[in-house]
Amino acid sequence: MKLTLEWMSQLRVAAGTALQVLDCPDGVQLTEALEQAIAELPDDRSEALRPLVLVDGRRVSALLVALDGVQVLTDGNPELRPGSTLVLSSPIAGG
Amino acid sequence: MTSHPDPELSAHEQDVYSWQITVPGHGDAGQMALKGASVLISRVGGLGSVVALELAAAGVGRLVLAHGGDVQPSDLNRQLLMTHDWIGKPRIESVERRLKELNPRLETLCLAENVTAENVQGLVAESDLIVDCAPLFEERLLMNREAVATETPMVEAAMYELQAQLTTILPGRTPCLACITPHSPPAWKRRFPVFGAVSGSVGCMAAMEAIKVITGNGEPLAGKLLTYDLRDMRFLTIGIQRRPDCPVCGSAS
Repeated sequence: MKLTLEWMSQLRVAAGTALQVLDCPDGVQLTEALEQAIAELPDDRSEALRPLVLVDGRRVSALLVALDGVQVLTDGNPELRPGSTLVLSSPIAGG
Repeated sequence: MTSHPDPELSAHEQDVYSWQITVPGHGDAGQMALKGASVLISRVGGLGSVVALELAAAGVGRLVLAHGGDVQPSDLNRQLLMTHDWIGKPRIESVERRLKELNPRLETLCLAENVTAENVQGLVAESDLIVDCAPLFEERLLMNREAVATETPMVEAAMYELQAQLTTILPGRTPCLACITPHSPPAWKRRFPVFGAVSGSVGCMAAMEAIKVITGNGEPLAGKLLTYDLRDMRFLTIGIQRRPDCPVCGSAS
């Protein structure tokens, strides 16, 4: 099934792209989809992005994740539906 | 939400604000609410300068402004209240001078310091509403904690590169900042790439959020986070959620 990821803020810079389309197995869960997305990027991008998104296989707690327009709290790992869109942003501030 | 002693509008104020008094739902009552309000803005840099300018122009009666340090050349791409002739002098003096040039009726309480654990309580106590424009999460989380403790609304504005985010925290009704960012993220760096036009865009919207909360006219971004990227003009609104285990506003707090 197809999923769309939108990388924002520092994640977009690290990923080198704003949008990534994934072809995932049915029933994939959020964290697995993120693992797959990172793995499909070129090695240098993957290396830069991984520590901003996943640590020891768990999502970074400060990461903002939205599934189809609604925030997913850190301890949530929902099963994704075909055509879902994930938006991911690292925290940003003023200045 | 009125802290100013004389919210009645003079004939001169009626004239100055005549273009906005006619906005549907605003009127004299909305303008008097703005005049009676006291708003904390911290810091008053790229984002906060624009928020302060817009609120001063709109007729907010009192601004509580906190910003440490002296004007640097690298401030001038975005910090619209700083001027070239003030390089090396206190930022807060430049801020106060420019705001009073725009609105001499504006009352200001200026502190030449950034928000700290020692001063946050006093600053928030002087304010009906907070606009958080600080670059460090330590400052942002301090203001968030005090906002929740005192049930003071807080507009949260942020930016990065060509992107920006905005939400309005109504304590007791919406998620707080710690529900989104529970602690200071280690990967965040104090200095980051950004254009002044980006801070200007989100600063204007943050000022509008403050005006909506103060006057009750319009629907603020309560429980919603606006995120946008001016590189390709993508605008998204995300529904945000309270964390039951939030250390600030959750049941464990």
